[in-house]
Order: sequence, then C-alpha cells, then structure tokens
Amino acid sequence: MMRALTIAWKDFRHVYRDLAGLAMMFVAPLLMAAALGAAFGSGDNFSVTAVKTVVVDQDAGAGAGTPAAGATLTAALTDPGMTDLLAVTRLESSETARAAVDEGDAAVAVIIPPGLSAAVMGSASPGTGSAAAEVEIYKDPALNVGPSIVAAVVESATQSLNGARAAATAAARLAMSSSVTEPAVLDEVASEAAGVFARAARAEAPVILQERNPLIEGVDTEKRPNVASQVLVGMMLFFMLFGAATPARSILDEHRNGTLPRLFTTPTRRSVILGGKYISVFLVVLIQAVVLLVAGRFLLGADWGEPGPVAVLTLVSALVAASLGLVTVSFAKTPGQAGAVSSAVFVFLGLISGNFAGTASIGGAFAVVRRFSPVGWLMEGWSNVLFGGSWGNIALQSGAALAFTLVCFGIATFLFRRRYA
Amino acid sequence: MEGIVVQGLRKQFDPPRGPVAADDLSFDIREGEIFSLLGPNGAGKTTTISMLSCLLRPDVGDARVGGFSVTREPGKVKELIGVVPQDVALYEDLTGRENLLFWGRMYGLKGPRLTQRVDEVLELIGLVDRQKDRLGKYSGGMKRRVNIGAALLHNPRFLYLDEPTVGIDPQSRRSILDGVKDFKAAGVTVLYTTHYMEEAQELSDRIGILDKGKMIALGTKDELVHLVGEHTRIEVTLDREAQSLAAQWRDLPRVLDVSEPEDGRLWLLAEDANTLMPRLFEGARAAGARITEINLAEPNLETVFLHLTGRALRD
Amino acid sequence: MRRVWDIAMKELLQNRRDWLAPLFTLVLPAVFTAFLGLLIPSADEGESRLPLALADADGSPAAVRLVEGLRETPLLRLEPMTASEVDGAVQDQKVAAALIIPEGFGAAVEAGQPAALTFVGVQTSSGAQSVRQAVWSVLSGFNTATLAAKAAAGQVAAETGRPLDDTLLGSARSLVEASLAAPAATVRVTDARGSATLDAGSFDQSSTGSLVNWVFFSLLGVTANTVWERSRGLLRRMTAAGVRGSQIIGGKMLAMVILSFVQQLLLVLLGQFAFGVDYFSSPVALLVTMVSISMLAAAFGLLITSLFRSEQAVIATIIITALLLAALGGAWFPLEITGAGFSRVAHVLPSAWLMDSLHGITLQAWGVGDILRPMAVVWMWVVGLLAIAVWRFRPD
Repeated sequence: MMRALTIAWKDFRHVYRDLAGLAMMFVAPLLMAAALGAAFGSGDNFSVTAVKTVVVDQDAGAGAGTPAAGATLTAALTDPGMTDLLAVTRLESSETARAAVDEGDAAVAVIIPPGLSAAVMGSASPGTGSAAAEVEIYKDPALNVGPSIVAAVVESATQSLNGARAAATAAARLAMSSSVTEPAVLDEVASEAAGVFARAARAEAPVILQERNPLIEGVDTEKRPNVASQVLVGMMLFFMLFGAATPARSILDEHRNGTLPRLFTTPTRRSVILGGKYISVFLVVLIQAVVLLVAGRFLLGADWGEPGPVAVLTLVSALVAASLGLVTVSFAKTPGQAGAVSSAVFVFLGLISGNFAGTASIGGAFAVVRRFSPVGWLMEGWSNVLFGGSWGNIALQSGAALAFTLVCFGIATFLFRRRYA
Repeated sequence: MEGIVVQGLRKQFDPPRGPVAADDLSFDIREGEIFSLLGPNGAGKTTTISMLSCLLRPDVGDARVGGFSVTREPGKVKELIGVVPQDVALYEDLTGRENLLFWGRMYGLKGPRLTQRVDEVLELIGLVDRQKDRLGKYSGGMKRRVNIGAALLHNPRFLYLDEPTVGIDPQSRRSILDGVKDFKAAGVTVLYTTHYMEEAQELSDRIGILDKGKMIALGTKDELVHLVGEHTRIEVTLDREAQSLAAQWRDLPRVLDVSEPEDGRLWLLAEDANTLMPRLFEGARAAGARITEINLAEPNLETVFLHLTGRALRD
Repeated sequence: MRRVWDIAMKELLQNRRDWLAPLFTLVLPAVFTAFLGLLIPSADEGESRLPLALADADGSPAAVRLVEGLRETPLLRLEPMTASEVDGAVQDQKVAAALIIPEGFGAAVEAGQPAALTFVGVQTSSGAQSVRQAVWSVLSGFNTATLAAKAAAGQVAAETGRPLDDTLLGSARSLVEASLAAPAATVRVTDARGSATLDAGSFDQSSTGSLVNWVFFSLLGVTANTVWERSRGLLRRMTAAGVRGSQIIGGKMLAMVILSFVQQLLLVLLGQFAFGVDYFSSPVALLVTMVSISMLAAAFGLLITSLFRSEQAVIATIIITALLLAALGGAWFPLEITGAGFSRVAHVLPSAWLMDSLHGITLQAWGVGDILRPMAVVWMWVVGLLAIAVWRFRPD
C-alpha cells in the first residue's frame, strides 16, 4: 500500500507541475460557468435590453367618437410600463419600416393596416363583417427574443380588440333574442358590453399562471439554483474527465520513457503499480471537484444543496471521471493518440449527457439518451440535489453511475494487464 | 553462493514468423565476477537481460538468479537485482534526490535507512551538490550517473547494466567503467552488455559473444582470443583493382580469409604476416595498383567475432 | 513556396494516416449539428412538438375547454398524468414542462372568482420557456372569452331584466367563442423571406454554430504534431536543411487552412442538403467567410504551437480555446438571448463576428458588402495572432 501511495504521490505532483493542465482543470470550468452565468443573468430573470421597434399606423379609425383601433395598439406598445422592454419609433410608411429592419436599424416593425378599425368596429354581427385586418410583424430573421416580446404585446392588444368586438356582438345578439329591437338600445348594449370588457381586461386576468421550478420528490419547498451553478455542474463534470485523462496518460508516458519497464524490475508488484496510478487519477479529480465546488460556492454564489448527498455525489463523480479517463487511455498506444481519443469520447459524452446545456435542456428522447452515459446519470443526480433533493433523489443515479464505473475500471485493468503483463 | 545459472532460454517475438531474439541460451555467471555479453546491435543482449530481470517471460527454459527461478519466483529475484536500463529511465520533473527517494521506496526501503542509502548513493555518483536540481537540468552524463545510482539503493547482489555507455562523453564513460570495477570490488556480481569490444576486454572476467540470439563463444578474453589462434588481421587500402586482388589473395598460402572489398578497403586474416606482406605489395604492383594504407592488428575480440561470424562487430 | 507546399503536403499525408482525424473533422461535427438541431425544436414539425405534462385534477367543462385549446396548439404534445407525477417528469426531463389544473378551477371560473393554474418548469430551460409562451397564449384566449361572455351577459341582464344565470352565461359564451373563432384582427409574423415563426430556426443556429465550434478541433493533429516535431529535433533539422522559419510556419498554416476548409465545406453541404439551411444565397460571401474562419483557426493553431512546448499543453489549450470561443461567441446559443451588454462584450471575440456573418448569409441573404465589417474584425485578429505566432516561433 505504501508503494502504491508513493507512485500516486509522484504522479499527483507531476499533474500539479503542468500549468496548462491546471488551467484546463480549474480555470476553464469556472470561466465557462461565470461567463454563461453572466450571459443568462446570475439570478432568475433574463435581462434583455429594450427592443428597437418601429411602428407604422395606417389605420384611419372607424368614425368620429370611437377611438381608432390602431391608436389602441400603438398605445399598448408605447405604454410607459413597456419602456424598459421596447424602444418604439413611429414611421410613416410600411416601406421605410421594412427598410429599417432590413438595414439592422430596428429589430422589428409593426405594420398596422388601414382597415383595422373598420374591421373591428365594422359589424357587430358575425359572418357579415368585412374581411379580417392583418397586423404584420416584420422581424429581423436572425432575431427571435425581441420580436417575441413585441409579438406578445401586439397579440395581447389584438386579442383585447377581438374580445371587445366579441362581447359587443354577443351582447347585441342576446338582447335581440330577449326581444330588444330598437337599434339605438342594441347599439348601446353592445358598446356598454365592449366597455365593460375593456375595463375588465385591463384589471387582473380571471385565471393566472403561477410558475415554479419542479419540486424534488419528498421535498415540499421549491429551491431555485442560480444559472452559474447549473452551468458549473456540467462544466465541472466535463473538465474532470480531462483532469482524469492527464494522469491516466502518464501510464503511456512512462512506458514510452522506459520508467514503467524499470518499475517492473523492482520488487514492487504490477498490481501495486497500477493501483498507484489509479489512486493518483482518482485523487487528482477528487481535488479538482472539491476546489471547483468551493470556488463555485464563493465566487459564483452557488448553493449546492444538502452536504451529505453533495459529498457522495462528489466522490461518485471522481470515480466516474477516473474510470473514464483510464478506460479511454487504455485503448491508446501513444500519449498523443490517448489525448485525441479521450478528447473525442469526452466531447461526445458531454454532448449526450447535457453538460453543455447546463441543466436546462429539454425533454423527450434526450432524457433516454443521456442514461446511456454515466455522466448523464451524474448530471441527473447533481440536478436533483441542486433543486433541493436528498439521499432518495441520488440513490438510483449514484448506483447507475457506479455500475458504469465498475465496468470501465474492469476494461481498463484488463487492457493494461494484458499489455504490460 | 550461487550466481546466475541460465538453462536453455528461448524467446521469439511475434511467433511463428518473428525474429528469435534468444535461441537456446545456456551459461552461468559466477558469484562476484563481471560477465559481459558482447554482440552487435540486435544480437539479443537486451532480450536476455530482460528475461533475467523478469521483464520478459522466456518461451522455453529458465534461469536461476541467486538460487531463485526467474519464471517461478520473480519477486525473490527482483529483490536481489539492480537493473540499469539502456536509456535513462527517470522522471525529468523530479529532482535527482526525489528520483532516488522514489526508486528506493520501489525497492522497499523506508525511513532512516532510505535517507541514509540515498545520501550514500548521491555521494557515490558525485551529485551531492546538484541533488536538489530537477533532472531535466542535468547534463547527459549526470543523468546516466543517477540512472545507475537508482539501481544501487537496495544494495543489490547482482547488477545488470544494459549498454550504459552508449552516446556519452569519454570522461563520463571512464567514470562508469571505474565504477563497475568498484562494484566488483564490493562483492557485487555484474552482468554487463555492450557492443564495444574494448569495454568488454577491459572489464570482464568472462565474456559471452552473442550473435543472432545464439551464444557463439564464451570464456575469458585469453580463451576467446585463443580460438582465433596466432592470427593477424591485415587491413589494406588500394587505389584500384581491389576486387581482382582480393580474389587473387584468397589463393595465397597461410591466408585464412579475405573480406569483400569496399571502397578499395579490404582485410585479410593471415597466419604469418611477416612473410605475407611483401607478397601483397608485389601482387598490387603486378596488377598496376598501389597500396595506400596498411595496418596490422594483433588478435582481439573483434578478430574473434570476425573469425566466428565473417562480419565486423559494428556492422 | 515550393517548400511551404511540401511541408503542407507532408502534414496532410500524416493527417490522412491518422484514423482519429476524420472523427474530429467529420463525424463529431455532424453528430453535434444533428443533436443540437433536434434539441432546439421548431413548431412546424409535428415530430418535434414539446411534451407538456398535463394534470387535470378538476375535469369541469371550463377545464375541458382549456385542455382542448392546449391540444390544438401546434407546438405542444400533451401527456396526461397525475399532479403527483409531474414534478418528477419535469426534473427527469421526460417533459419540457407541466401544467396543473387544480380541483375547483371550473367552479371558481364559473363563480367569477380568481383562479390560478400551476406551471412547472425549469426557469433556465429554453424548452420550458417556449412551452410557457404557448400555454400563456391559450390561457389568455381563455381569459378573453371568459371576460367577454361575462361582460355581454351582464349587460344584457341589466338591460332586459333577464336573470344572470348559467343559461345566459352559457349562451353568451358560445356567441363569444363563435365571434373569436373568426377574429376581425389577426397578427402575422413575417421576415425578409416571407412568412416566419418566432422559434429559433433550429438548424440555422446549430449548423452555423458547428462550423465555428469544430474548426478548432480539426487542428489538434497538426498542432500536436508540430510540437512533437520540435521536441524530436525535426524542426531544427528542417532549418539545418535550409528551410526558413517562415516557410515552416507557412507550410503548417497552409495545411491547417486546407484541413479546416475541407471540414467546413462538408458541414456546409450537410447543412444545405440534409438540414435545409440556406447557405448559398451569396456564394462569394460564403467563400470569404469560410476562408476567414480557416485563417483564424490556423492563426490560433500556430500561436498555440509557438507558445507551448508539450503535447499535453497544446491539447489542453486547444480544447479550452475552442470551447470558450464557441460558447461565448454564440455558436452554442444565439447571443441575442443573452442581452445587449453581454453580446457587446462577446463581440470582442472573432467568433461572435463569424456567427454574425454566417447568420446574415443564411438568414438575411447577406452579400459581400454586408460581411465586410465582421470580416474586417476577424482579419484584425488573424493578423494579430499571426504576428505573435511568427514572433514567438522557435524551431527548437
């Protein structure tokens, strides 16, 4: 055992004398997490700057006394409450508005057609009305977020117009069926109904949507991890694989440099030599994980979750990374080849396990695919503790990851023993 | 005490078509002697040393080192031997001292005994002053010295040195050769491989000559030279007609062998150089050629190898 | 020039003998493109609808109307389950999000009381955000219908004295729904190419992103090889043979440019013909951009070989650089979703400008004139990196 530790300690020091390797192990994941955390806002909200919007209102109104529908739409866009989201400029013609978008001066143009008021006010009876008026949202094809906000505002305002018209139509039809025939009264009922609707629509909606994060099984309260911590988990696991591959590669380095055969001439048994290598790989990634978790806590404000399960997941993650590092190296013959093989395998694993998407990917086939990778299971486990989970939420994930690990260690040991026996 | 006894060792790489690197080798090395394996590159020296250090398993045969079998008791054998590999096999990013400490632990040393031995070895290889420098900063000769030192830490009874002087300066080479003699004086049995005839001649109590995996001769230097008899090697350089003269000289009496000429140079193995020399000059003149250089060499291991294989040692 | 060419050809030969090279150059980028493209769904393909778990604990007519509305939404695929199952399904990413209709929802709506639905989704998930928007759109239609029916029925009751009962409300509701089914005002989203959607065009993003992401990985071979050649004295031997340092650099660079260009070409063809990305609107602009990408990658590769001495360090640096440039330059996700501040900072990186140019070409039919500005920034990087690389390059 002492000899195995001596070998482990030597390899361990070798890793910590390589600056580029250290940068990859520690700096890269933190940098990625900090950068992506900043990109998506460090809290819960997306921070978006005001969308440059141009509006062309060609609507003339339906007649004296009634407010023009186009003006209502424009008012919704220029509402004082929207100034943080939208920077609205009015233009005269649809051509100049489109040109502004095409030239990148605006993200989106809202083009209100001439007959909007006429269409909305035109007829109170369905089926006989004039053709629908179409509000056009002309957007920069490369952009989606800004135009979505504008579209949401326009759609909501349009829906209010349609709702008011529906209320008026329904009121008039119901009044007629209750034997009211006088046109003036019918008109009044209709316009009163539209007014009531408009006032109600401005107040709180009857049904609201309450949003929350998923609750972890057995946990009642919702926990919201910040973006940086979600990104860091993925990056940590990804770069731990590289952290493991570097000391694992030292087996091939030592073979090439002749120190491995020389070790075999000493009375130290081969299993002890291999064991020492495994220990150093494991220690290197374990320390990497601990440093990243602590740095994430203090630099990025990550709240990892319950200490016990976090500790277990950290250990399992180190085992997984060590076994993957060793098994990818065991297939290669030269250190250069090992570097390339393991990079390819790791990028692929990162891809299918969701390491690059933080914990924010989407459902469906992905949930199945990621379970073919031990890293995918780890991502699931870490996500569970991040969202407030406990022992019960990591048991299956840790078990599955460990099973993969055993297989990988087994293959690596078999290949190394066969080659160096 | 028993030295090393080798019985019928055979090793073939990539059988059945691969090269046979050791072919039915049997010899013994006596306790306390310096034994050299001499042979050209690819003769099977490193393969033999690898089998004796339990790195390679022989296909057939066995060897006993200090009474233990290399195939059945490798652990016991490894405790008795110190192996100095042909290339420097050390960690460049550790200091000289750290390297020695590491290898000492690999040989099972620990505690005060380990530090004491490391200090002694540093003294022995003359690197006390530089012990705290990283190996990467050492000169080639210094690395070689540490390379040997790492095999001495556990006071091995048997020391294997695999071509330790390849590619180093004359001064370092001299110090290594002197060191080897000191090991012998201290009672260590030394197995030394080389393709430098002079080294084998200077150091060895006995020499085994390897060629193509076979032991073609074995004995003390005098015994080996005696194999050739009182023969002299004559090297001749001609300005022309080397080919026809070589053919002509093969038929002369007392000429045992004549090489194929190369760039006008050829050699003859002759029983009596004194009577032969005038006839060589005569023959050259008759053929219209001129001898531009002529050398006489007393029999040595080179001559022995030449005699036994028809090739020069450094071909 | 002859020697530059010879060195480049030797590199390419070595690259062809390396069975790992095609993995990095071709297989992984193609997988990456397809995978990311499938991950970002688009509304017009039924196959890639986003799964929404739906727990209806109410079952009232109001709830049924709402569910009907959700079912008709083209973006969503409903997966009915119980309220206790939805959290696990969201957490395990079996569904993009979940909606819970609580017991008593219908009664509250009928009674005009405020009611709330629970939407469960991971805040940072793009899928959950898309689903939330679709659900909100259905819900706001539902609200509009509810309010309009109440307004109409209330007004009629006041005018005619009819009791404001379920019958009246029900009639109002069906009249309102009929009217809303044929709305007088509609909204249509368009862009320069005609009718458009508001979803990130999945392959438009992932295919162009792959170009930028993988081009650096294809250089692993040449850069690691150069470092190895230096450590074995091969570069010094070249100099001893009279090859100038600039010729060595030129040869390596040419090899890297050719390699990365071939890779890009394959990805462009894959994007164009397998994923329907419109690359060839302006072939000249595309060519200029691709050459610029290759030059940038080669300049990076050379700089890394100039600065580092060990294969280990080179591999590490290339992977870090590739990931950072790709992620922060907008190759993984469009920079617009990060907000203007981040996007401005990210535009320090050449990769952000390359992505701008590629998006312009594929989405807005940019011509040569349009890509001049982004390419000018990229070439400033190329020149800067090359200058340092040449300055620091040592054959031994």
